[in-house]
Amino acid sequence: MWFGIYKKEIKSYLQSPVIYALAGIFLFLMAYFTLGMIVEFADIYRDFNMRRMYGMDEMNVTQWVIRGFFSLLNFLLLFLIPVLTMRLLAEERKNRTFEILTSCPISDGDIVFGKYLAALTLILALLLASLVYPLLVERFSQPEWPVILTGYLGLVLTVLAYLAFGLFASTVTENQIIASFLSFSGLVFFYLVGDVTSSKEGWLGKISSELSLRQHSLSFSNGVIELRDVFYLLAFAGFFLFLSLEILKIRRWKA
Amino acid sequence: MIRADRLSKNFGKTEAIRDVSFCVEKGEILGFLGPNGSGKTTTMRILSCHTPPTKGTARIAGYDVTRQSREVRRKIGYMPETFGLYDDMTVRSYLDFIGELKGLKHTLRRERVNLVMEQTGLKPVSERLIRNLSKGYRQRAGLAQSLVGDPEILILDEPTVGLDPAQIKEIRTLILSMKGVKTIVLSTHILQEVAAICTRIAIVSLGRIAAIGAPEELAKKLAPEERLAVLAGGNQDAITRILKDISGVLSVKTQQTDSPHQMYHVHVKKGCDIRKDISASLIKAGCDLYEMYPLGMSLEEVYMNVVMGGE
Repeated sequence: MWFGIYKKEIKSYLQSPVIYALAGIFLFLMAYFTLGMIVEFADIYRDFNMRRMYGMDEMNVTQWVIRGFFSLLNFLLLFLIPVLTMRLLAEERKNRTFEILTSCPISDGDIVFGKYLAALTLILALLLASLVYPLLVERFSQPEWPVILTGYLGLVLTVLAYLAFGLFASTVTENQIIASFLSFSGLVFFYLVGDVTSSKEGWLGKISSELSLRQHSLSFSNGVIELRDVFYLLAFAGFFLFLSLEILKIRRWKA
Repeated sequence: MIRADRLSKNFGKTEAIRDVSFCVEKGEILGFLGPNGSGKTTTMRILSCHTPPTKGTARIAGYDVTRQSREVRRKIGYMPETFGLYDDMTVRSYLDFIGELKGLKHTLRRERVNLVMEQTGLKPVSERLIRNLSKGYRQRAGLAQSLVGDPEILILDEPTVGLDPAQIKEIRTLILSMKGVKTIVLSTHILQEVAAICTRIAIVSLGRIAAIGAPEELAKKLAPEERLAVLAGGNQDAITRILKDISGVLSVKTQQTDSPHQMYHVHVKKGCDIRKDISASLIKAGCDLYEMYPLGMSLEEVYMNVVMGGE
């Protein structure tokens, strides 16, 4: 039953010129910074002294370029996802289309799930396109593909979490601008929270680093799959999807 | 088909509706008539499973609106009072989308969409983007989406609001064409509308049902007094005095007529039949009695009386 909603959302994404512009900017920035990193790596690598200085006898292209590539992707998604998710439910309420949806024999879960999956599909398509850059690196160097694959796995899990939060922000308000601002500032908060305290000591440091989205998505790009990171990101997504459903329920009581 | 039992809905401290009970039999058209803010929309929203009641229950086709809402929603088509449509879709793709959500399979869906567009006169604009539709067509698209699933029950909240007279007539004709086939609950604040379409009327005021029944029945039941028309010949003042003296008479008004005799409208206390007294008194006084008949009260007068009386 969610499939009808899913189809409609995908169609409306593909009909929106904004989406193409965003995808274009996204891929352009990726290209720009990735090339920058490759060039920088090549420069340093060529210069023997600098190589010593950066301790690059042990460093390779995977650590230098691929890791940077993933943290860059992760960072850009922080900006992209709020824009993709802001309209999902805010627009339905603003345009009063939601009441007709709820009179159809589908659950709120179907509606939320269909929309969530549609946004996810779009991001996955972009991530797929971003594979061009590791392939580019492959042309002249030997990046470690297992690390690239775990990096992508980490990104997909992170995207699940970001999207759930963005969707949640879209249920809170019927104003799309507010929704995008809410999800952006919320995501930045969860992204940076571990870096606020300089040490991981003390209860505050521990909690904040445990809550940090960045900390939990970092190890994937080192080629490590930690179960607690997987669990955290999935739980984060599940929690905010659940909250979105609860808010819809409360809104119905008040309608 | 629809049975509502003591429905109440509160928003914080304000009561939107209270103890609303009614039932609708198969094939009936029940009209909720009441001023704006009397709780019509809230009632419609409860029936369409959009919002649960604070107290009370409603069953549609045997299913409870709160606990079995999905079964209920399979049976109904709902047109909200103020609704939006997806501006970036064409009329056809919108109806197709709603049909899919109603669970219609592909070929059946295409048939239904075509049929419904035919019924609602949307055929000429079927490939147009909804954002370019006029108000009249948007309203029809709203009605069309409620019909796509071929529901047994239709819940229409102010279906003709904002339309011009010709469009209102078309929508009414369409609703009337489904009389007896579908069970329909609609709300309106326009009296002529319920009088023209509905088999039964519920007059709502301040969140309660003030009266419910067939239009004629309602007019009779709710009239605060009875009226008699009396056509008599003789001295006008004398006759007025004679009529006023009869017990049970509240007031007497003279009316202009074409006939050479004078017409009197006699307002009588409800439940008193004083026709015998009138004829006896007039004849005793030597006046001529030509005609005497009861005057019904119009639904409009009754409605105003109930609604104003409630305020």
